[in-house]
Amino acid sequence: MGDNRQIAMLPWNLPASVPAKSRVAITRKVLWTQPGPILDILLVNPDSELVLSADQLVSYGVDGDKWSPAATASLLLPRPVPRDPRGRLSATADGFRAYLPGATCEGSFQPQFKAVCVPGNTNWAEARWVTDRNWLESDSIKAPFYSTGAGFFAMADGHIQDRAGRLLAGSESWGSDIAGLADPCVPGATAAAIVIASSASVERDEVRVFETASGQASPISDAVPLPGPVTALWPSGSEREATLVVHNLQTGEYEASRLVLACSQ
Amino acid sequence: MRPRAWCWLALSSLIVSSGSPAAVRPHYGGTLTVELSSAINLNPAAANTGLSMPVAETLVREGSNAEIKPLLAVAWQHDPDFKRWRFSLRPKVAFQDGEALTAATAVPSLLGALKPRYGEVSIEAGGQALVIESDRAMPDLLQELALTDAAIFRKGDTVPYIGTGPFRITAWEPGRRLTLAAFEDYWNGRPFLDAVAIEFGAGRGRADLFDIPAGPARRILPEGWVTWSSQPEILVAIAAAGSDPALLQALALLIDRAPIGNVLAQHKGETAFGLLPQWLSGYAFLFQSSPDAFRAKQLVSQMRLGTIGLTYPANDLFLRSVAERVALNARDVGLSLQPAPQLVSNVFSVSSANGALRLVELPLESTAAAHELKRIADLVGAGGQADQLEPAKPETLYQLERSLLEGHRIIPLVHLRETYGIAPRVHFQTRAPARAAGSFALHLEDVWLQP
Repeated sequence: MGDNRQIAMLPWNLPASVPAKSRVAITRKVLWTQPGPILDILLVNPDSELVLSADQLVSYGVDGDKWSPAATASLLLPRPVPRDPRGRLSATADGFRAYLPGATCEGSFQPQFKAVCVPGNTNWAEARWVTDRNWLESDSIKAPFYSTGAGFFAMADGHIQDRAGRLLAGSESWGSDIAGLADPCVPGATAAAIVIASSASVERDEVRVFETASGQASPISDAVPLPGPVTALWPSGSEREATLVVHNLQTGEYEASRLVLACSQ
Repeated sequence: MRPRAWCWLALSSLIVSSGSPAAVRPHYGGTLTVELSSAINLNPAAANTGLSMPVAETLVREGSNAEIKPLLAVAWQHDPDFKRWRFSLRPKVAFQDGEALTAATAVPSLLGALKPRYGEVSIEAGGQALVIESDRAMPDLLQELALTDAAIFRKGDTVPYIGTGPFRITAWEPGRRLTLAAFEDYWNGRPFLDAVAIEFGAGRGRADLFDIPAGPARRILPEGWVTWSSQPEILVAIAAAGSDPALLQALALLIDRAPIGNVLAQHKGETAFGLLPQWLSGYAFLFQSSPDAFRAKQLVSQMRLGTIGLTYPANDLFLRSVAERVALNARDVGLSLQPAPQLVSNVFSVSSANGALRLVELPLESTAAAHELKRIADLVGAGGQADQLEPAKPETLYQLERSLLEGHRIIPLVHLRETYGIAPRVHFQTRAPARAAGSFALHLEDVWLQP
């Protein structure tokens, strides 16, 4: 009372949920659905795609207006697949390669569709799986992480940080899956868009694009609600596209989609 | 202290009240600490107990609609008479000590489980194939093999049991604590947790997960904790295989069940008029009735009765309060019941000496209504009545249950839920758990801890 004033100082973080501008639009196009987990999809050419599951690879071809299985290769893995199954596909000069925790599989289309797996974790980009785990490691960062994009890492301890260990402000609601993409509104710019999966809902995730500047993430798209939790998110061949797999809670199936970013300004 | 099946988590059907943080992948590592108010029974030979799914596994399991799904067996077939079954075992499965699972290693466990049910049963083992044969038809063999006491295990030198499940036993002090460690080579993927440390009778509230037993004691959960409750699945009943049926009939009429469920059980259960809970049978409401003290008094007046004992397991505060409540109801109609604590080694036995009444707890073993009803019929010495049971015909289930109730060998009082308090750092891989026979299933191997 009177002159006896007290001043309390409380911490305050810049709210990340208020988009400054929604200048990027996200389009989600379903590519493939199946009952079991889809770890990754590789679009070999417009008429052919590869679907990586926990125990097999299936090649699909376009048959009229739908995809039809063309060939299947079982994966003889040296270790059981982790309970949170993950995997990555990449194209090689004469076929494809599948990276799974504890095994790397070399595959070919000709003379027959097959994949041969050997024990061990091979680097792709600069990361590699850790055997029996659902996370990655890299020589350039000490701790394990779930995903990386645009210079940031979704660490296994739940933080988003850069290579030097600096935390990214505004990323508190992000999930474990991030991917770095090119900002469609800034031609020629380095990858500045990040697709994240985050949600206020317990069961259903959503995806959103953020830009990062000066250690701060700011949303530049509206959140796109998804029909269930995200189980995989990988950058795809195009710098403005990503592969997203969702466990659709209504159908019970796993749904692989292509996310495409466009400038909506 | 109430002995309990140690399939407490794997078989518990729980209602989800919270989930994992959004979009966060399950994290490997950490030790889940658990406090249970009562001990669990590791003895696979004890009735209604058995090695649970975290340590030992069965050939098959029940799916979300009580359908049978592969587990350690990947395929099976039978002859038209259901007397000969052939199972193919899953390849590349190892016991927790590294020994490969073969048909030969599975035979002793299976014989131990099947002989009490089918009598003379033989099992031939060859490589990864098992042939089970009996002179009797075994149409429900798959359901029997899905029960936890048909789990496949071996006895160990340093630990009681070695199975093929996601966790191995590292320390077992009966009645005090059990420690489990992740089985690194588990065929279905190493569990997320490094270890699980379970203490019995602790109740200090420092664990990540603890049970909240039915009864007068209340426990306040810290902020951010959630509770999980099962479907009503533990039948509390009065059993008396050798008592005067008229006495049981009078008791059935005089007991007011509502206060037992609402007050004594603190709403952690549903009043029971049928032997199977409503969610399992679908017809339990047909047995519902109101207390009829007048008719009970008439029946009691026709009998020359002294004081009758009503025993309950010593140290079970809830059953003690139920016994006292029933005695109060009985006194209102001139019947003298004397609650008496009794040390029991097996709560699932309902036999009683000298026709004394006994309060028992009968947890569900499975979600197969026919199996459960048969089990109760056997326990009350009315197994012969179950011969006419045809699992595919619900009306035969109803007829058997009605017959058991009218036989007045067992009086259902309440079906209890199991309730757990769970710390905020505990999460489950499946954020929206699959619905399993009207409930949600929770498995230790799906649990992960937020770092």
